[in-house]
Amino acid sequence: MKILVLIDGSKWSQKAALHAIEVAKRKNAEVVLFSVLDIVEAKAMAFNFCTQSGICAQLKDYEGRIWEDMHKDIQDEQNSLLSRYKGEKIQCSAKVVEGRVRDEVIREANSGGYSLVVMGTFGRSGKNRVSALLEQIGGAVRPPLLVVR
Amino acid sequence: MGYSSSLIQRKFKDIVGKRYDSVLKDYSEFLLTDEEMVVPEIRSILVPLDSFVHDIGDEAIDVFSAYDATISLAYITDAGVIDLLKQTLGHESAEEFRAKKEEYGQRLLERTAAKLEERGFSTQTRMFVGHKGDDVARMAKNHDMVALCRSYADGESTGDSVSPIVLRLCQRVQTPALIY
Repeated sequence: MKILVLIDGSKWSQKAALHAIEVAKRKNAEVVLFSVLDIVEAKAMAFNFCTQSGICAQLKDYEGRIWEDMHKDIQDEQNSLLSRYKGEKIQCSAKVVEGRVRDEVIREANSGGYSLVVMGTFGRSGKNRVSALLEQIGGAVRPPLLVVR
Repeated sequence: MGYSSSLIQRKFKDIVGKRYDSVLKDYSEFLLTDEEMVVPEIRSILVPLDSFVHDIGDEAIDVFSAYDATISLAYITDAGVIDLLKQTLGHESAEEFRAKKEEYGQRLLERTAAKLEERGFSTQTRMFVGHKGDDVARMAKNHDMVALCRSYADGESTGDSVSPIVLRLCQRVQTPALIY
């Protein structure tokens, strides 16, 4: 069995990864931690911050710094999870790709030979609403989708 | 150190100091407490069925086998549709509709239970007239996981979409949900 775990930096994706450990141990499965970073998010954050703070001249600098931070944060998150998986003696690797989250997740889930995709019920918008990603990929990914809360 | 406290210390290290509790309270919708981070043991799985569900695929059964769980199969006929038929076409037509749906439901329950038992699962079955969303949310409170077919409660779902009731159930239930 090969399991794809979607990591977006939220607490729920962290819990999804912990849940996947239990499944992987019982099924002797290989796990791939998968994250997608979208430059549009860095642009939006930089634009909103710089326009509200009246520092539009520094827009490009902020965008670059936010983009760098997004990479670093997700790498930190994945490294911390990789150590956890390693401690449990589970075969695990990590992937970070750039692009549109929906497209990249569907591409990976449907072409990577996975038997299960695991994600959090909620995302970085918090628990007020179900993850927008779930609505976007729920019908399009072919393997069963385990949604953890 | 628990995950929540570790995350708050890492992300808010410039300001958090002794304010861990207030950050946890003010931003609770973005955080899980250390207790909530505990992965629950899965001992029972609720699998709602209806006339839009034709089978449980091998891949979903393979996931069930990761847990030492009893599978509860519940076939639900929509009470709202039966009421509507009663009002428009009369009691007899509504009863005929219910009987046909339950005949299909009985066959589906028997076939699915046999398939699961062949794979070594212990199963329970039940069939009733009710609400496909509310009743599943209510029953889920007595189970550790819910497994939902993408087309459950929605004949309109295409290959690329998932039933709106399935999405709403994912939001409502407090357990993990497997969409297959």
